[in-house]
Amino acid sequence: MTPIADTICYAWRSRRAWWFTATARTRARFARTLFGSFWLGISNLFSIGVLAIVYGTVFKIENFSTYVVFLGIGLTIWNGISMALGSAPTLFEHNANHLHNTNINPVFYTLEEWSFHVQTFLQSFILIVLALSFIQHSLILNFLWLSWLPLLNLFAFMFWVPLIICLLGARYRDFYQLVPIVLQLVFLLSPILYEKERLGPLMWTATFNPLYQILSSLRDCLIAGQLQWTPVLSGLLINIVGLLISLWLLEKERRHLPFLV
Amino acid sequence: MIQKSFITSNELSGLQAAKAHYLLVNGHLRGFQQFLDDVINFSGLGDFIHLPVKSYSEGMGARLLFSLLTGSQHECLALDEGFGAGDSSFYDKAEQRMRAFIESAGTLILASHSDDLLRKFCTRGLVFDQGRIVCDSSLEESLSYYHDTYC
Repeated sequence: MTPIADTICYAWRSRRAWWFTATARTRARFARTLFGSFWLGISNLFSIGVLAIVYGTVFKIENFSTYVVFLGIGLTIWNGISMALGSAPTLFEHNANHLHNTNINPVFYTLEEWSFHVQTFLQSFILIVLALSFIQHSLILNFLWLSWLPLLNLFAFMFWVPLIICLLGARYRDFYQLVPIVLQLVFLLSPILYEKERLGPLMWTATFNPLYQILSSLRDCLIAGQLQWTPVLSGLLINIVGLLISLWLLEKERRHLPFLV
Repeated sequence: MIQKSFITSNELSGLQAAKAHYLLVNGHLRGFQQFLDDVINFSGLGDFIHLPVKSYSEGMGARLLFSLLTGSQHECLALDEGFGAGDSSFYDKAEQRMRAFIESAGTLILASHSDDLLRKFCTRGLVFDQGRIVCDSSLEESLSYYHDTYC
């Protein structure tokens, strides 16, 4: 456990550096734009509007305003998860120069990437919640009072799963091709654009879909205003175990990484 | 410290690279402005510090990196001969700073194929062959071993 504890200590000591580099990347991304990082939320709002109209018509939705909230929150959370997972396979390859030339613990680059995605997600998510609260007023209150544990689960998940994919991606290049395909299939299989009941006999797939479980626990608590303690706490336990395993794997692979990228 | 690249993306500015480096080394920004002034002054980058690192020439990048690495206290500094990139006035300044570093009881590890450069700064020599140390002796003896065996 000592190497894992050392990695956690290093991550804590260097927290201001990786958080700063992630923030600087977000700022650089929107430099010289009029709306700056608001574009993150605006682009999601456009997607939600178009998809709600199209799929609301396709699925013959009766209560359109409820559907917009359901789809809007689900889609924003999904975008956060898929961005974190999608960029993971090539993370170490993109940082190959640093891995070859510096003695910085590789967890730094995974944390920088994680904070970049957390910042991107939060900026987008807060704007979407504010916008959708015009339709369902209780969203803001539910967000402030109930969303902390599901959000914590989401952020933990957005760290350790991409970290494992990073390590696999460094060793097996096929992951770069595989991850986008899997993400697309999981998106179609997850009740994000449609309600869970519409899966019919395939409804069990949602129960064993970890991405959907993380997504739905946050979405359901925001929309229904109730925290489902059992899935949230079991998710937290899985995340703690996942974090420890991913850090152990990183420590195990650390000395091989410069030779793999 | 063995570092040949900035820890930040090259899309970010030299100023942001300096800030990230300072935060990584110190964990806070107290004293950063003084450090930054020293880095800008020593590297001679001036207002170019605000430009993205990707727009720097090789010499500008090397000057900034050398200034960052030698701008704060280290017990040990490992460099390769690449620090010689840049104009002759910067090379002179870099040489002075290296001497000051050694005089302040720091340990310098310098990787180079240049006998003159090594004689300026080093007293002990290590010769590597395929990643293994094949000679560990005084500088002159190591240089002789290197020339006799490989040249």
